Amino acid sequence: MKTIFSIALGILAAIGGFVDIGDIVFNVAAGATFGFELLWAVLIGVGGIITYAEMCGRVATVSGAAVFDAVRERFGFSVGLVALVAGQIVNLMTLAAEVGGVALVLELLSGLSYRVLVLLAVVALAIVLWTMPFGWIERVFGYGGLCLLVFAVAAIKLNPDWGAVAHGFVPSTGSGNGWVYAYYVVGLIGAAMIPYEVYFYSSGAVEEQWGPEDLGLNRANAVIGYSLGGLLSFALMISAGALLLPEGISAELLGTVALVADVPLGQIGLLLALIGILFAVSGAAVDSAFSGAYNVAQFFGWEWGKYRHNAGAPRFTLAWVVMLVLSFAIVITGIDPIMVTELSVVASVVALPLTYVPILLVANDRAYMGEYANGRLGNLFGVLYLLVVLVIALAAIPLLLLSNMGQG
Amino acid sequence: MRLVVALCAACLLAGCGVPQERADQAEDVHAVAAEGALLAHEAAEGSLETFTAEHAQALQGLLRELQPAIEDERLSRRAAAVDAALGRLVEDPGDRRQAYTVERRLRELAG
Repeated sequence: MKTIFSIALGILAAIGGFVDIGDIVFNVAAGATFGFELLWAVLIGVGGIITYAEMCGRVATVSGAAVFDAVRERFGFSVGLVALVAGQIVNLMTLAAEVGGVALVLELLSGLSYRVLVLLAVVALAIVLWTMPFGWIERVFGYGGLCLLVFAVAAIKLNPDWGAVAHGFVPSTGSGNGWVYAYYVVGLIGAAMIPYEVYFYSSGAVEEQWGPEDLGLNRANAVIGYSLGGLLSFALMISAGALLLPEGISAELLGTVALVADVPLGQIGLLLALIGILFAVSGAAVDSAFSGAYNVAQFFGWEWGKYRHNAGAPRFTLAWVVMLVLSFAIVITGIDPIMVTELSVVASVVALPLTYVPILLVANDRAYMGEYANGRLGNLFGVLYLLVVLVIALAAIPLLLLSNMGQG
Repeated sequence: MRLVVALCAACLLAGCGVPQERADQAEDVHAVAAEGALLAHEAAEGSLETFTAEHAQALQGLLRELQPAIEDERLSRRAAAVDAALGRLVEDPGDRRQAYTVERRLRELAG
């Protein structure tokens, strides 16, 4: 009973923690531009994160090695270092986008100056990172993020054409500008498979000292948690498609996302949407700051882990402090966080093969993983998503340019 | 990596620009007016005042990036009228009667 309860709590946290600013921006913008036509791309992205996270969690559980242990082991120091630098750039961009997102939501709630709120957000995040135990971080932000379920209610209340919604799950070439459509396909898959989530997830398996007996929990968290978390992405796109597209509204502001819940559900919908976004984006900021520290510590073989406390892993602690300070330096310049979000998602797509490939190789290595290596189904999905990851990585930057960042 | 950075920089330069075609500019003005109308409708129903004011201001920000590039006189006047209507929401987000008037005005301007 206790195990089932623990799995349920983990799944709830995974649902609430699934969505970050990249998902919010891309899903709502895609819904406002193409209605329900791109739901299939989210489905592919959710399948991708399940495959990737399940492999990472299994490798970490069986071997105690998180993502960047595997990267260095499989690629060697030089190539591994390229993967690390690319991963860190993406992590930093993601963290900057999330910090900017936190400040934007606080601005919508309080009316205070954006720059003051950026400072406040960074200080608050530093306190959370410094003081909160790992399990609490996962749960507090995960449960708070569940407020985003308000978008599922909004989607139903907006009464979309459910036939068209169902049709959106079938891949199509789309209507309108082909480059913009393809850009959104890449962005939606990339936003769902954003790597920091997987770095955090696999390091978390080591933090919580999972052993082979926890492989069921790993699978449940990855498959059920991320699938249900994907429902939030669907809800965001469906509600934006039902409300914004018919009105000819483009979604360029975070406030537009909140308005999508405000219109069908009133003030309570608006409040829940803003609180949900705040928790989801803050949680993602914490995860991406830790991910940056995990990556560098694992790669160089430093002591790492929240369970060691701040003084027990000083270089690890310094690494997340540096990440936070750099993200502050980026956001305080006044750069648009929504634009940083889009660029961070595109950059993460480009860098994705550098961490996906070594994890797939390790997860498939019977000498390393023994009886826990990929089975036939695992390999089928692993290879299928390797192709997806390679195609979107090659297409991301050309599409960014050809679609004028999705503006057409 | 250098290539990625260079491409991102090129893209930033391309993506930051405001639309130069009249049709695209008209579409953007329409989008802001239509969203402003939705916001005003919610304000008339009794939404969070801070949210109304801040979001209306953010919509004005989008419009003000676009306005200097608009050469068409009629479109320019329409953009100015949308800006002014949003300004009323920024000034007094809690006035529900005014919000109702602003909603109607923005709906007209959205066409």
